Amino acid sequence: MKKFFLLLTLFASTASALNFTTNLDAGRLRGGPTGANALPFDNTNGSPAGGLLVLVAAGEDSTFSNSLAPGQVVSANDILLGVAGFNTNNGLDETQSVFNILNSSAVPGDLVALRWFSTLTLSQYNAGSRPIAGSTFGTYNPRVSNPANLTLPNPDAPDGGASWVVPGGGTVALNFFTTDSTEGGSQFPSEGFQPFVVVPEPSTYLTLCLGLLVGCFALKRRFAF
Amino acid sequence: MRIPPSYKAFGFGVTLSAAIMADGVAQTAVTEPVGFTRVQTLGSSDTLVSTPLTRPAEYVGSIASVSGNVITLSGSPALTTNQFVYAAGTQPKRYYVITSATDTANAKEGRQFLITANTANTLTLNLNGDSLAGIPANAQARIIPYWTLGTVFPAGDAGVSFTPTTTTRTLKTQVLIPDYSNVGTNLSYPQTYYYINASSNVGWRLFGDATTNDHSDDILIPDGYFVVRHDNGAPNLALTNVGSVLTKKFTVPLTTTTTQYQDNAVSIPRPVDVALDSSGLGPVDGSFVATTSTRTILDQLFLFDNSQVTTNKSPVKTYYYFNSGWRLFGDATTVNHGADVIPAGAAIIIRKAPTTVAQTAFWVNSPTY
Repeated sequence: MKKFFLLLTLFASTASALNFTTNLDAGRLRGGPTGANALPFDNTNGSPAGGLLVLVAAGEDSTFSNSLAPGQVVSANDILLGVAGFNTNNGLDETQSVFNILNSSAVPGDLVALRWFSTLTLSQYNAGSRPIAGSTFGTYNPRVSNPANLTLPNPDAPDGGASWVVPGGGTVALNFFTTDSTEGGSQFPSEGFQPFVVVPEPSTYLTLCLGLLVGCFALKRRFAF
Repeated sequence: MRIPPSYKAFGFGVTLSAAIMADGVAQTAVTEPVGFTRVQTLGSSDTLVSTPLTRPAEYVGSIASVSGNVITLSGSPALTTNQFVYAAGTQPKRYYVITSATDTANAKEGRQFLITANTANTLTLNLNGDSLAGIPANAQARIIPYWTLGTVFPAGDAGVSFTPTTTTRTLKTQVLIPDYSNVGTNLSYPQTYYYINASSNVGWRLFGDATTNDHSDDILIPDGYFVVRHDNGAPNLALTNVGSVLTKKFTVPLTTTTTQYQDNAVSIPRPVDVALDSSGLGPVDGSFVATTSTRTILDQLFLFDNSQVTTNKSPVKTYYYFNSGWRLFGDATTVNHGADVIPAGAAIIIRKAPTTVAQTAFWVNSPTY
């Protein structure tokens, strides 16, 4: 058994890191749970002042965790592939963004999702800022869209382009178009909203509750005296 | 497996030389050989190519001296201030200078440096970490404009060498640029260009930048390559390169690291096939480190097959140097592959093994014609 684990470790340590580029065309991406808000956009090259876009790999379980605590852009066994900024270079709320992924531990074939934030820009993220409690975000992958996308011939690419999976390398195009985008698309408009919220972790809740209880008790004793 | 030559080079050499005495310093007016090459670029596929010809040199002269990042030219070239500096809308060219030896050895022979400013007789260069030390007086300087997207794929060649994009959701012909700056291997293509033709919006664009920003003047470096991707129904086309034949040495810098293998996406501007034994790559000058054990291949040279119809291609041939000769991975280690060729206009990846000191190796290629 020890020899087996040793061999496994040797194999893992020599596996090469993954490099690839994703040219993303996605719209309409909107802010808030009902899509009532516009995302910050920056139409200059690289879009540093644009809303934060995150490319996520699902890991072995093929599911994306939408439970983010403050400070997180991915959680559970999801893998952060790369970040970019939002722009409107391709039409109404439609971004044309490049993700250059270097030395990723993601496995080719794992599902890929796009996540977008409206209260954080790419430059802020690169400077160290992270989502705070209450931040809304959206996540899209054709397989986990609602309703589940079953468009043939390729359910992993209902709007054309490459499949929404981690490629083996090179440069691939990922498309995500809602029906209300400038040139139309296959996805419901709500797929471009931000239904998820960054929430504090349970341990943080417990601390807050305890703090409130202590505070209430202290007030009660004070009034009693 | 033999890689079929997809280039046909038709060159007719016309070289006229005249020695012109000016202020007691000889300058040579030369008309260099010119010609053209043509390569088929396939639909639904990536064709990895380089430009085997250069744009015509716009100045050839003698060097008086070098200091820091400045070359002083001999005589009175009477250059116009900053005539070699790009100015959007008025001067669309960027230039590099390449030096060669005359009667004295030139340590920097064949290296190319971007010109950032010039006076009547000086050139200020971006050395990119290099130096001009070792360039002797009387070395020759040749100033050549870079190829650009707009010159390799001019608007008039729409439908001939590229298919314009009419809607940015469906890119037709794309030109992908390799990653020249990041550390590692199997690097991808961080830049994608496309030609838009949508109403009054016409020209080369960069994916991710505003769709109205013109990138027709973006350069294609002479020691690199690019990928022509015909996508979304764009058909097979042919890319023709018309230009000058470089008859001097050409030097390609190769990056190494101390911690891992490093890929270098490169090419050499030669309009003919070049045998590995004649390439100038080899262990003698450190440009290509020999492998001592086939269980640990050190430096490697990769070539691609453009007849494959696919995108994001992997190389089909891996060469390494072992036991005083070129070997092909997968073939017997006793078979000498030194006569195998780098096809004209080929895209090459040279993977450098880790070194004890992170340094740049230099591949000096001499013309075989």
